Amino acid sequence: MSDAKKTPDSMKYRIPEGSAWDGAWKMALTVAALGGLVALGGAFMDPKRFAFSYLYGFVTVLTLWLGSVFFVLIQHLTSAGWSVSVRRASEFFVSGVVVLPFLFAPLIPNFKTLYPWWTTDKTGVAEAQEHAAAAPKGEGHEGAAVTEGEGEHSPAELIEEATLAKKSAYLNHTFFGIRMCVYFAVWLFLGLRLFRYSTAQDATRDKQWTVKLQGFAPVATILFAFSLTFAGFDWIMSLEPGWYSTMFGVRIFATSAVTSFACIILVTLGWKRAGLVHDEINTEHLHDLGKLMFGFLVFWAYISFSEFFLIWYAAIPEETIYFHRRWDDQSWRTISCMIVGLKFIVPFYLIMSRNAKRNNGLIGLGAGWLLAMHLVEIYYWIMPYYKPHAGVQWSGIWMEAGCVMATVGVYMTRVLWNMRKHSLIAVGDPRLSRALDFVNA
Amino acid sequence: MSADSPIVEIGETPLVPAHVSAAFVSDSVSRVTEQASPVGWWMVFGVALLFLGVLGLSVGYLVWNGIGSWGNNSPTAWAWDITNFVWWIGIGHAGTLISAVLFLFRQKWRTSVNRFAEAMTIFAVICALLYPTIHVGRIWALYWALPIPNQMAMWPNFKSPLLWDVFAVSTYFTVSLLFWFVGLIPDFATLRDRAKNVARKKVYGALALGWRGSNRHWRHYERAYLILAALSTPLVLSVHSVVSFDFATSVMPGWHTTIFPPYFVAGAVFSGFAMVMTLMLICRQVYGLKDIMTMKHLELMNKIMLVTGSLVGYAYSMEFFMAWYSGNAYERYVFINRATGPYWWAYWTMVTCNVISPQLFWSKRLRTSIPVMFAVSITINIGMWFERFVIIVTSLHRDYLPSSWGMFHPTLIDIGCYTGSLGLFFTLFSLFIRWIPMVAMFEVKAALPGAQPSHHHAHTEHAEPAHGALAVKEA
Amino acid sequence: MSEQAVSKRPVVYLAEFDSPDAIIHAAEGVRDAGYEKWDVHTPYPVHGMDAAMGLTDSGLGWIVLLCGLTGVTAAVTMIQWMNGYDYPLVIGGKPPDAIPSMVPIMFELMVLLSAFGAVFGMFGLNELPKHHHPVFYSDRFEAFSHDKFFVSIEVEDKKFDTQKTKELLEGLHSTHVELVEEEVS
Repeated sequence: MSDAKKTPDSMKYRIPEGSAWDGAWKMALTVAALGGLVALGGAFMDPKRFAFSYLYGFVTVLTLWLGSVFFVLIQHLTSAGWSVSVRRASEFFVSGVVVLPFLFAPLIPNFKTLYPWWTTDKTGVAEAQEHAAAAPKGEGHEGAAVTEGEGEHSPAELIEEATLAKKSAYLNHTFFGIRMCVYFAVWLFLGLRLFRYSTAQDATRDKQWTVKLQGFAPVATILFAFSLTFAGFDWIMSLEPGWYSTMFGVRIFATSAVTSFACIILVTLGWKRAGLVHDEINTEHLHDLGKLMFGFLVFWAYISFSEFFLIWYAAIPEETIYFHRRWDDQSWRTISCMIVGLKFIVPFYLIMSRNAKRNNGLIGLGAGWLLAMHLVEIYYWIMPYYKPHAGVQWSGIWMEAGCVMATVGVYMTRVLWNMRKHSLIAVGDPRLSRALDFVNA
Repeated sequence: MSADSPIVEIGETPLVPAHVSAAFVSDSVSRVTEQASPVGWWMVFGVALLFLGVLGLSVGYLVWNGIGSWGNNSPTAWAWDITNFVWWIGIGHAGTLISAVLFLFRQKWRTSVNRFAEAMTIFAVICALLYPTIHVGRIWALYWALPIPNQMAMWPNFKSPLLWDVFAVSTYFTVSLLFWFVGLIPDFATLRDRAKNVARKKVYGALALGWRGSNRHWRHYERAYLILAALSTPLVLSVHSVVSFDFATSVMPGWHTTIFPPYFVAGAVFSGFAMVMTLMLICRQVYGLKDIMTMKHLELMNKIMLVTGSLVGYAYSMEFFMAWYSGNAYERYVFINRATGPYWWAYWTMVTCNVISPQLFWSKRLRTSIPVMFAVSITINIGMWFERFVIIVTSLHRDYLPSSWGMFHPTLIDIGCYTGSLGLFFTLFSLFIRWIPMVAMFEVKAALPGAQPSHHHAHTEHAEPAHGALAVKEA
Repeated sequence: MSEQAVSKRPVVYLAEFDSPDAIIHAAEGVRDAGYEKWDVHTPYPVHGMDAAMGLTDSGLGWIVLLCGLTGVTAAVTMIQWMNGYDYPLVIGGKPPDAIPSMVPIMFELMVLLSAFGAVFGMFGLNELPKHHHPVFYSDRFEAFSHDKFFVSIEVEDKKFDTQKTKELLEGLHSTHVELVEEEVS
């Protein structure tokens, strides 16, 4: 075959021993351990805050993972050739799926703190007690925190019991638990299959893997779309059980996509800096990733704005409450404005020009910036429910930092570990030469 | 040998047959505008003109007698007029999608289809613009919608979604027209250079603006094309989003839902692709362009219809789920009423046509069968019309109080205004087919195998780092 | 027009090529020979040609950015002045100068003006429409819009020399070289 000279062998893109990337997983593990200690301390000091902080950490990881799955799926769906050399970067993030159920586990005893409907749901009292029994340590504190907070902590005063009762067919303990299991089953299935099929091709070069992945992608996409949407409803939207928005799933998707592009860009730049890959991932690929990141940033802005705008315009109290929580208090208003200004306007201009996308420093800065703002956005999603009406609780923010370090650290440990075990580029993909030849016209 | 050549083992096939060369493209596409039209063209054109006459009569009657000539009445104050408007605007969206979004995603196959689809966009938007214009009733006062100083010292209400529509749709029309014309310049030059008589030479020459294929021009031209594509992509999203705001900003069960903007966009793309498919199947048959618009093109378009049809299905299910989850009695009622109330037939027509029929395309055999795709494309067009009808009429016909309930009954003028718009569309489309190259020749040529210099050459020789495009080497 | 009444003077050298590889090679040759007033004519844009000709990146983006910002500014000014100041309107309980409801029109005007900037800016940079150009005097040149590739070198160029330029073009494996002449009255 005439392409043979262009097709590198499967050992060429392995992380050599002694490289910074070889030991990176240890760093991630250290971060996770430190974060875990901080979080554990927090869990004893303020169990209620810990519940929200930990959910914040988990959602950060989850969105990152969901975005990566989307990137990989879309490449298979469109049989993309240009992206073959960067696809593996995203596949490593996908491979981190195995830690997600473990990361989720600490949330289970905290459901009653997090979700106001959990305690009004009369159908599952028995299970609630079961959960309480399963976590005897936190029980006393948590119970106290909930009762203490009841006065100001408000869904009950704002949302009639009647509304919650109408939702009990969906928001009840049993069904919630079943759905949780389904999501993780689907995600493990998708994540492992996408990663295993692709890495299996590295050594064998069997083109059938490409065919299989392309055949799998449409079904996987449907599973992905519905699991993402309903997991978002369950774990994030039901923090405010009276509120609802049909756009919510799309918003989660949009944020996740932006984040995953930022991650791919940062990881590939890191590989390049360490000399692990050279021209296989070049300015052309970064330019294209930059375009996609920019495009999805605009898409995210469009989705978020449309959602806000329709709720603002119609001004129905049960819907506007979502934004009142994030606007009435000056400190939350600052964060809302930050998201408009720093997550959209600044990076929009930063990475808009072609030259910025073709400059490793600038596109790296843009990606890092968006990743940092992602942390702010997830904060804005979750944390207003910790102490509604009380503003941002700056003084305890170390607990959120600890939880993010713990969750992201564990996840990255797994991701970086997998990087050591596999080729950094999907060398077995028959379209690799197309990616190597690729030029932005 | 090139990396772009198809890899058979993973199911890739060449886009066009091997005998298709640049000259073949010029000849087979230009020929359509140079020869006498086939009988089929005259038949379509004749029927289209007839319906254009119907439109003229209906609109004339409507303007003379007033909006009461339609079946619209309280509580269904909006009905076919807005249904048709949204339907046509939606059909228009495929053109921009193919020319802009697929361009940005570097889908080379779009080159055979885009000119065609862009023309369709422009004509569909013309049809769409008709309805808001005539539904104001006193069309001589239409300029009140524009920010023009007037004797009443009043300005338009910029908080009205209907005013955003004025801006969005007219911007969309203007930008689509510009995009289309820019794409046509090099092809007009081809027609000019092939012209055998003075009249053709003069007309096409004037339209070609003196294009001489200069690379100094291509450089700015390609950038302009890229920028127009980058602008059109959010524009196309915004247009149908603004159209959806007409409904979603109101406090009306079944209308006020936050997913409306992307849901309308997906539906628009879906219906637009179906219309492109219908027209393409006819044209490639009549004009023998099967080597340029190949089965592979058709198959890819069917896949996009499957995707967008599924997105629409996702939106339907979200709406239904949220109506139930919201616990809001009015929301719940509207959706149950849609499926089981007096308009159940419209609702189930919509679901069958839009969600179920494209699922046939999961099968490779069905999505490569011309009769099947023709039937499905027509079905989808019908289904998407019903979607808008269902949204508009079922939400309105049950007002909050049962005393204000009612049904909508179309009049002859309603029917005339709708069927007549098809006449307008096909009249314009027939004229386009007759006089303008229906395939973007220069773009097809650029995407042919062997049309671009081999990369090996471009990479190794004289790559000047200062000139961006090739500065890819790492130090 | 009678042939005898006019004299002719050379205006441009035109060389014809058959393939994209040949034309890009030729362009590199002409560039390396140091010509400035020359051009390449192709039926479609050829990848890598800008570098082969030694052209800089198109500056059209800046024009478009300027137009886009003008569009946004115009929209904000118009809406705020008309609905917020000159004749304040309170609709749907929203303040007259509400910001969110301005966004759709800000966006549309930005796109509209940017599109004008892109199209008319491109016309301006390319000096189009321009129906007279010496290359059109050649009868063979018509094939550029069909499937042939051309290099044109103008007489105006400092390095132009009838003999040397001809040799250069022939040396680049041109299939046909022609000195195009213009009629001078």
